[in-house]
Amino acid sequence: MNILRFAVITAFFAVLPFSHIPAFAASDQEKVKVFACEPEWAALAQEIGGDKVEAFSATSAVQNPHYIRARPSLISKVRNADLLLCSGASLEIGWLPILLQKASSDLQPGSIGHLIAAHLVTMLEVPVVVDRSMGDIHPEGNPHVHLNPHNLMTVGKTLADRLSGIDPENASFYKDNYRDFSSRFRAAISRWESEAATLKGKPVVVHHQTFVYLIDWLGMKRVGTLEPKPGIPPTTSHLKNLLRKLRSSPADVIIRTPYDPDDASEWLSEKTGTRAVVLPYTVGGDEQSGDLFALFDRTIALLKETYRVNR
Amino acid sequence: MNILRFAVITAFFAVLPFSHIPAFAASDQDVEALKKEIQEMKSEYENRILKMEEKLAEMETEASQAKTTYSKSKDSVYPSRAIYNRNLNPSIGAILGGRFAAFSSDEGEIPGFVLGHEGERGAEGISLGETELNLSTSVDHKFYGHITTALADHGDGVEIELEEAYVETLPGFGLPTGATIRMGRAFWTLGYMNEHHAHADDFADRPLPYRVFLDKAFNDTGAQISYVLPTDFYVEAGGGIFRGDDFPFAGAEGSDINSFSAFLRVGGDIGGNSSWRIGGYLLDGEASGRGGGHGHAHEDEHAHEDEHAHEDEHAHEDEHGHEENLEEFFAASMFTGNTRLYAIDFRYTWAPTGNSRQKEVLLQGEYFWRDEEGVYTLAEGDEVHEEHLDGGSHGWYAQGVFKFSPKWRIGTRYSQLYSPEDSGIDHDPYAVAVMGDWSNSEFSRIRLQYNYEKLGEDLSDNQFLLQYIMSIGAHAAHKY
Repeated sequence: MNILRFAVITAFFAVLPFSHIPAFAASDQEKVKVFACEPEWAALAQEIGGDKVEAFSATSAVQNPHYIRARPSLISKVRNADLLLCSGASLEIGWLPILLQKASSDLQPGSIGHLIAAHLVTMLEVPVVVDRSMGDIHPEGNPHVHLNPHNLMTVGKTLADRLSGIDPENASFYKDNYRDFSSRFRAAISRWESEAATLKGKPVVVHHQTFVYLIDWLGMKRVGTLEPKPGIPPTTSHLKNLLRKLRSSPADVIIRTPYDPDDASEWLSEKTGTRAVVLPYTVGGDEQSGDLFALFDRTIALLKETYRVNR
Repeated sequence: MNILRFAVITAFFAVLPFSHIPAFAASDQDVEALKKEIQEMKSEYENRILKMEEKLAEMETEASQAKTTYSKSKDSVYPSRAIYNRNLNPSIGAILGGRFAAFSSDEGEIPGFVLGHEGERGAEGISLGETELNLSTSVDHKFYGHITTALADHGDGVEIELEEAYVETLPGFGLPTGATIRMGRAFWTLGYMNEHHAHADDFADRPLPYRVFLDKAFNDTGAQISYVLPTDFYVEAGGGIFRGDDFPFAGAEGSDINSFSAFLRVGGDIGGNSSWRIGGYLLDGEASGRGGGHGHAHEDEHAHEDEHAHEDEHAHEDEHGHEENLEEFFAASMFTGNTRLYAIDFRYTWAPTGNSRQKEVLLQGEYFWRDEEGVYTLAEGDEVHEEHLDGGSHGWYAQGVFKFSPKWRIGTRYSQLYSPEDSGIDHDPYAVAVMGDWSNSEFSRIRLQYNYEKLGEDLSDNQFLLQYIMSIGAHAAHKY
């Protein structure tokens, strides 16, 4: 009995070194499975991959991507994925590491299937000092990078390269698709930039630091944040201070994401008379924001509308 | 620059011995030379400042360019930013906990069940509870290592407990995707709570089935393999082999593997806002003289409680056939034999608004059935009794927690045990808990809990618990 058990265990360990032999080689006809942490990245993957990829988003537009659970369904999704596309900068730190334990080696950091937007773009709000007393701080900088469309172009280019590497047979397809997407998107960006020219320098209050890249891109000015510290829900004393500040130098608009609670911004809106607006934040954030183009169309339209109403 | 300074200082000390020579003896030639030297120094510094200004201007233009292009140079094939917790140093984190407890009853034992050391009711009054120290990092590209030590203050000094010390294969190891092997000591996959640290629990104490069947948690030494199947639907299967030293096993000796486990669990989503998981588990092994947790059978400081607990459980049989030193060793009731534990767990999470940050409902339950065959030895003063046992006992708990705002949660839990069939005890112990907690951030939580425990016919206990749990440093992501 003992010897039998010993043999089994020895055999088990003897097999280990050979276990790198691929167990489940993907068949050629299969679509490239993209596991996107947030809806904007699933949308981007779909733009560039077309019908050659199957993009899945781990979060929806009404979920705060920082606080989701490592659900069983996500473990299966990531385990079967060929490419992981996420914002990074610790946004997914509470759940992605658990999922990655069960993912393929091609999805691990430094591999072809591990694509993190924050690694590619210029980060804003990179803190000099990091301490938990500062709230839910991201040492790598603000992770909500997709709200500057230039960043989407940058990530899209690398995404096309990665997809070509993972699925070489369709390399030219991805390249062409990216070229097509980028020319359309570039045209859209210049249109948005001219449309939003009137928004430059306009003071804005945000709920959480989710709109940093949008505000930076459009040249708007953030004059207040409803959360006293990143990730810490608004407190009465903080809101009162903000109200005092806004009475002396008012803002044009108070913006929040679909997943932020409405109470704080509505309260402040009532007190100051400044309009509180829910921006779609990401693809699917409202009915009109069906894809990346519509997302920015809608965002800028909402901001401009507020501005017109204020006049 | 350095050389210049060195020269000046050396010159100064060199000059000292001659300093008695009348000053102002310098000739015009010397003055000329000095002036020249000063002039040289001046021009050198000016040059440097000029160069620095040039460099600064260069950097400024670079920075502004970087901002307008919105992209960075790519030096490596797959660029990756340095991630702060992936440095060469392991991630270090600690959990600080403390509590105040008030109990109405003096007795905390559960008639019909032998409790291990960890499964007992916690200390009354102010206590530190457990302080946890965590270290973890990748060993290399194939392995990951983790250590959890708990510093438990039991009133008479701090006890260091090695809760976890394991290595785990990384996906780079080359096992089929979805497969992981974990070796060492860990909170093994068994039910829902067992693989979670106590600081992640939704209540201040573990439910009755965990206290009696697992002595709070099963963290024997061994190895476990798990595999997530390549299906769209989540299915994970696995099993482990263990030394057989931790409760419900004990006294492992020799080279044999005394215990093994197997599990299967499935899970999925219902719509976009809720998800679930159900699992079935088996743990089987040999116990040799199980009296307390971690195989400390012979030094169980709470022996008298165990004895008391079994006073009415076993008939007073007269069996004096044992040597005297046995009495010394087996001062309390001991179990020797085969023990097999079946468990089923269930968990359901629901975010009513879709965003679990704002509101969330957590439902969770586990059922345990223990089947044992062996001999219970119990000491009664100078007498030692033996009783053959072949039968089962079972228990379950169910709990619900509702997060109604980002910082506030309330919850309730019901635990039930069924006394062993042949124990002759009519009462089935049960406990009800109600709690409310407040979390300022993901890293701090303060909890107030009330328990009503009816463990024996004449044993009822009202318990108030006030607890804090704080996490500093690196904090690993929690499982589902």
